[in-house]
Amino acid sequence: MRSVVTIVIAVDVIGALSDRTLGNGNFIMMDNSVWPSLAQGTANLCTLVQHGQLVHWRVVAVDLQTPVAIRNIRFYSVGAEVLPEKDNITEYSEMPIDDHEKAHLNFWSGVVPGWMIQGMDYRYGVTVQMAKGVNSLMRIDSPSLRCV
Amino acid sequence: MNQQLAILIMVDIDSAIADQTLDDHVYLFDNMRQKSSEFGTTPKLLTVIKGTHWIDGSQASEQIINWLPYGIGSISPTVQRVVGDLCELHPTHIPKNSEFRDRQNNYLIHGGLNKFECSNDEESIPESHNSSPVITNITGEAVDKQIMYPARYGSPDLVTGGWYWSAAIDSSKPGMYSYIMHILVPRLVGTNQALFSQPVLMQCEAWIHVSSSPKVNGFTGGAIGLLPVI
Repeated sequence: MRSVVTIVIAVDVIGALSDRTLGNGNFIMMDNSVWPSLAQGTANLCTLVQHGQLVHWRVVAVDLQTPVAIRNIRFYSVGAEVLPEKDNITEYSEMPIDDHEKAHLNFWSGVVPGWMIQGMDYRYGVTVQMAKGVNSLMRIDSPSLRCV
Repeated sequence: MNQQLAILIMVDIDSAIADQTLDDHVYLFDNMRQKSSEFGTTPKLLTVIKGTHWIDGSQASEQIINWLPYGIGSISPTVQRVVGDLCELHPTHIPKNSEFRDRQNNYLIHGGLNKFECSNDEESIPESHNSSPVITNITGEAVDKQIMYPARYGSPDLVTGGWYWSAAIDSSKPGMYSYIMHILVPRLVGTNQALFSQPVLMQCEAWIHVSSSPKVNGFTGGAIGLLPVI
């Protein structure tokens, strides 16, 4: 078993800000899991992992001169209603807008805990920050992790 | 957010040539407004470089700066150019910019020719005639102290003659450092029938402010832990 699984997120920042959505192919994900993860190259990536593996998320901007950072990754309880994609998160209470300065200081890695039930999809939402301001935060809730 | 920084250097060529200096005739503009670069669009550009490091002090992200000089009043750099030789000028072809090499065959300005419509007034020089200014070197305190590592790179894009300047920044030494850009500003000499670009070397000073902050885990706020899967 490879001890680290890397999930790379590629964002077309200008596309996302122009379309006001992370859909339409502006946000795609790929991982290097040894198991056949589902929906590689889309925003619906379901990464297959194993207990004890380290999962690491990275974000890359398609245009090198556009800013993008992962502002948050938040897991939803199994069975929770998946929230609709939010493209304006001023009302997202857990995320003060002023913390945009700190987004680039975070790295997103964590170990797959033993209590994850195998075979179940654990959805998570990724919030990306693109520059700053009221239109800079967008979240997409389609990716997930599944333990094998 | 890791992005490459871009600094636009807009030169008012005619005024710079007239006053023989870039002071007050150059406008610097970078894309780091959201990280509070100061004094933007003035001659005194302070570019903010926010580096990051891991717990062991090693550099975590690479900060790259790209410089792009523009001449205000120059023909748009996106106009197609054909490389030509100064000696083969046909009298009716007015050089838009010219290839200049010194005795050691070092590159000074790379350019080409375009047929150009000229007014009948012998004294007037067409407004859009100048070549673009070109950066030939970047020196100064930041380079001497090994904070900034600039180099000239080849580009298939003929903007600025197929070369551009780019630098990597060592963000492990926080502080404010100055650097100097050496810019060739083209001066038009000659008559309407035979106009040539003569490069004039000028300098422009700017600053970088380097800081470095530690990377922390986004889930835990510290080191690596379990994923918050519920």
